[in-house]
Amino acid sequence: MTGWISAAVEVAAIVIIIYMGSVSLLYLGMFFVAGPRIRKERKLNREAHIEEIAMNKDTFPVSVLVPAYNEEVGVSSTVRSMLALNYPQFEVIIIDDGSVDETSSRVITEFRMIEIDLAIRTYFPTQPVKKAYQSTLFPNLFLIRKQNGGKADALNAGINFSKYPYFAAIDGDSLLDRDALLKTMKPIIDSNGRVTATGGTVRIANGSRIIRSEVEKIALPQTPLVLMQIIEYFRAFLIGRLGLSRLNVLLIISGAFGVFEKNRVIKAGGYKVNTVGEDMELIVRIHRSLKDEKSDQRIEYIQDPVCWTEAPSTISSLRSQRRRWQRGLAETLWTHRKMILNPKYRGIGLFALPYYILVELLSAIFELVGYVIIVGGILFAFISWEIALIMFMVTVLYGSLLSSLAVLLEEWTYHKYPDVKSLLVLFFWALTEAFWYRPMTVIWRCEGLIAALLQKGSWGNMQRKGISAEKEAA
Amino acid sequence: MVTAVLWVSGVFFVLQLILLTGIAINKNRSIRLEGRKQQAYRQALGPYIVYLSGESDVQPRLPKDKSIKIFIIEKLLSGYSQNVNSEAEKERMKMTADEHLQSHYMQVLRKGSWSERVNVLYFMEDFMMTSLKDQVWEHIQAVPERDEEYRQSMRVLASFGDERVLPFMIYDQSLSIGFTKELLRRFPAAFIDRLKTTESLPSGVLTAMLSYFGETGFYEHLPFVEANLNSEDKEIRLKALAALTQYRYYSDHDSLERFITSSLWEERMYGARLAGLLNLSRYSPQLMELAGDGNWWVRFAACEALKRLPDGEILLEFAAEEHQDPYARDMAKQLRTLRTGVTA
Repeated sequence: MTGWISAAVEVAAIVIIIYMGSVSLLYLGMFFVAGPRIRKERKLNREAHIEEIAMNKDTFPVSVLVPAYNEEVGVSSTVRSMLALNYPQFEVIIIDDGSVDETSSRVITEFRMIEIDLAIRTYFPTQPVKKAYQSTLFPNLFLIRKQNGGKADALNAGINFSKYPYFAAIDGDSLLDRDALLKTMKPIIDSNGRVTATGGTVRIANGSRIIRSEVEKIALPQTPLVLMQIIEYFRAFLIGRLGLSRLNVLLIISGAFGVFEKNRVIKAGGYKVNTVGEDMELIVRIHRSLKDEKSDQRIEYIQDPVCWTEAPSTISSLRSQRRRWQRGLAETLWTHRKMILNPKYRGIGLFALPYYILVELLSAIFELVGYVIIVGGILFAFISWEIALIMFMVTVLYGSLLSSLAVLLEEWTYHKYPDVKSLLVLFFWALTEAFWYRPMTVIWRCEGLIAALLQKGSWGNMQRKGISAEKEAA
Repeated sequence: MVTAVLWVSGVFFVLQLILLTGIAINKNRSIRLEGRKQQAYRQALGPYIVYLSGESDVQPRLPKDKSIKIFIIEKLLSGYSQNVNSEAEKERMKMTADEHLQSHYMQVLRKGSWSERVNVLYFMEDFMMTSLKDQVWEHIQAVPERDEEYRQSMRVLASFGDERVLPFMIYDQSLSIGFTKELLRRFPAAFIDRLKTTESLPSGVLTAMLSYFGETGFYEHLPFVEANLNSEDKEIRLKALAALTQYRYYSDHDSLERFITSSLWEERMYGARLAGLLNLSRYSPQLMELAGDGNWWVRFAACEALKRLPDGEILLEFAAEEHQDPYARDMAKQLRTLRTGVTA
């Protein structure tokens, strides 16, 4: 009996070793796909690059949609960050999705808003919009208050209310660089509309000095939990998304910040309301509609860091976030299962969706089994020490060395952190990833998978501390 | 097997340590170089501004290190070019740029990386380095892709008034209307006049011209814009109408009727906007009717136009309360409270 179990565990171990080795190679392959583009634009003068469209009257106007639910702590600084955007013509629409805190009243008071009557087009049905307000200080700032219906429903209401041909969807807790809209709209403008949606790199703001909603000095946070998320973001954005974008098979534009052609989103049917992964689900649906129409439009990701977000700084909020992400991923893949391995959808069906299933979704299970085998194998001698050692090394390679590579890649491209010490700190923390941070997130991702099967979910209840320090600066 | 995995992981790790060491050393060096550059720039700024503004004819000395010297000149001239006004100041800026940057830029155009080439093309235009016109012309013909490098080369040539760029603009179908307008904004007036008399221009170029004319508001182009209201091409007509809303002028008020009653919603929308902008009260019955149009944008434009009329508030009040169409009533209510501005 014990021999049979040992054999089964050994087979599982070998499968996991092959899996992790293959995924590591795939990551490295994507790194090499992304590398030339990063290298090409590495020394580009970014200010001169957007100077023309900053002053150009033809730069497409954009509606900035900010869904907010119980965001009283951060909503004012987010609004100020949006109003300070360097862009020729835009409107900012805050959508209060039935908050039970002071979200709306903070915005109404601070920006001296007055109620306006509504004649909203209804591209999509949403929960009823109760009231709308316009700022008397900034005529391009609006607030709409609606009954609670979730983030996707709030975004759909924002699209209904918006008047411009492009919209940017932004999380209520995000801050944008002043040139964020210009940088993300540039591929759309340069391609004469052939690019239908764009997203940019999202960075974690914890630890940085933020004054009046602008990142003044980039610095590392003290908390290892947040440090690890910074490294994770490097890995996801610099290695994963850029590579997928180069292959025109990018399936995620972060919910924290993305720009979309409104007509395309309307054609695709808007945000899906009964999922927690509405950002990814929309992108997959846009891809689907593009392929169904045989359109040559594409979705692009820009490598510039343009959006700053507050990362969860407690175990419980991080756990909740990771469960939600994993559940959203599972739901999206399930919704669009007919596209998987369907040659009609080319790169999306044949590569991107299988990639997301095997690498992003199921890796949690593979990794969890791997950790159990390493620990259990060593403790109870189920597997030979050689296999245990190989598994350990592959796990370190997969969990730590790829992350440390992403840190190096970030320094090579953007060198945003101002001193050598920050680089060394990030590098050495990246090496620890496989030993504590990854096992933790793997468990939460598995919980998310279970939640997807049980259909549990909500807006997400992260406790915000607020990342901007207006009062200190005042 | 174990040995192989250990080797692969070990080599990968050691490689990373080597990379880390290299990058850290490089970062340390570049932080120090950046400090030196900034210090040298601060020292050069005052004396150089005195020289560039013509208060002194003695050119200040610059550090011998080439990279620091180029950094200082580029940064100085970038700031200065934003504020330069007189011809004499421009001439001195060009002379300084030619003296210190010309040979370096020629070398970058030949051998630099993509981003370096694009950067120097940006600077060439800012510093008006017309002496490099032929090099840019040669360069544009060798640019392999229709990307930013190609577009910036065209912008540079257009800024320098190089007429060789005209055929590129007219016959390159890949250029967007927005980019064509960028070139038009840079062209000397003579080029624009020549384009106006060119027969069978591609519709993209014509559309861009109409849009550009509306943007400039120059009345000399108005007859050209109005003539294109009779175009058979819908896009051309719409661009001409959009241009008129920017001019806020239309010589033939009677003809507005055909747009207000057009079967195309875009024409109805622009017709309504123009009627409002020109304060044409005689169209108020038609505008009242358009307030209940099937298209949201037409309803919006019609109510906005009603609001602009001399007795607009009363008309809007009437529409909000009495209009037979419920959508018109909603829109009128919104326009009563919403503050708007007309854009083309």
